Amino acid sequence: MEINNRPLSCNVSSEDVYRMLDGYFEGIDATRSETLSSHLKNCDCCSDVMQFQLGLRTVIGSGCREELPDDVRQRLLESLHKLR
Amino acid sequence: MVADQATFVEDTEPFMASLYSTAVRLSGNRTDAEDLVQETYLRAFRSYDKFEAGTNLRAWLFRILTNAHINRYRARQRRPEETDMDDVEDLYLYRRIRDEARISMSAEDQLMQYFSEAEVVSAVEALPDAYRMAVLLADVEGFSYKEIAEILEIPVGTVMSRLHRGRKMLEKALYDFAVSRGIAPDDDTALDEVSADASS
Ligand SMILES: [Zn+2]
Repeated sequence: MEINNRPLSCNVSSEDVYRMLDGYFEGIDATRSETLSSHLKNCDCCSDVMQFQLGLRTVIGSGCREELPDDVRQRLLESLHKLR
Repeated sequence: MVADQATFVEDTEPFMASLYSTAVRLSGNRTDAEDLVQETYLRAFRSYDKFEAGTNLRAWLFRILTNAHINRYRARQRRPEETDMDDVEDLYLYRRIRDEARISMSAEDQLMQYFSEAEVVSAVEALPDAYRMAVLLADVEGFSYKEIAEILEIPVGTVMSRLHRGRKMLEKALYDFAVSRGIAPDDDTALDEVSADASS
């Protein structure tokens, strides 16, 4: 299906959006990464996509984070102190 | 310089909460998670003299945790077909739920109208191990591609593709929750309508 990596309305590829979000630019040259980051900052379409993906990450992050209960912490620490 | 076992507890205790949190999402329950963290600390203690002081202790501990998890659950590990997700579109959720009318709404607020936190957890826990580990390390624990490559002992390119596929799988699962609740249109229906239009 060719819709798979359909570029955004401003023609930026989804791969470039992901690179930007993850701050990963290895494998692309410096000129291209500069052009890309200045585009993403100034483009309404791209900044909404980025904001949306970051929001999604926040939702995933806070949904997945599990508190360490005090009793579990105590048991783990006790077993650690026995190691000495 | 190597690390000193005498300072092991104080050195590693700050990472206990995030190791436990990841362990719960990897094992799927609190009892196994506690065992997994305990095993992680035991293994880490035994090889602490091999840890090079001043390098990334948090990543080193997560490497032990993910290895311990993989060893425990090797039998039930599902190896996803590399092509599984190839027909799922990039930016899957964004393309389906974001429109002009909602552009002023924060993404978090909009997303929470479509699914609950409990559904986020079950979508993450349903991901095949390899993808789940990559997504948890990147999106929950905030590790870089390079750190994830070291933790999972895979090339950076593999980290990228696992994250990419894992995130798409997750986005599709979340969208499906909204579809099943009747608050988002079924994707297949939408595609059928398009092809019917094209053929008429
Ligand atoms: Zn753009």
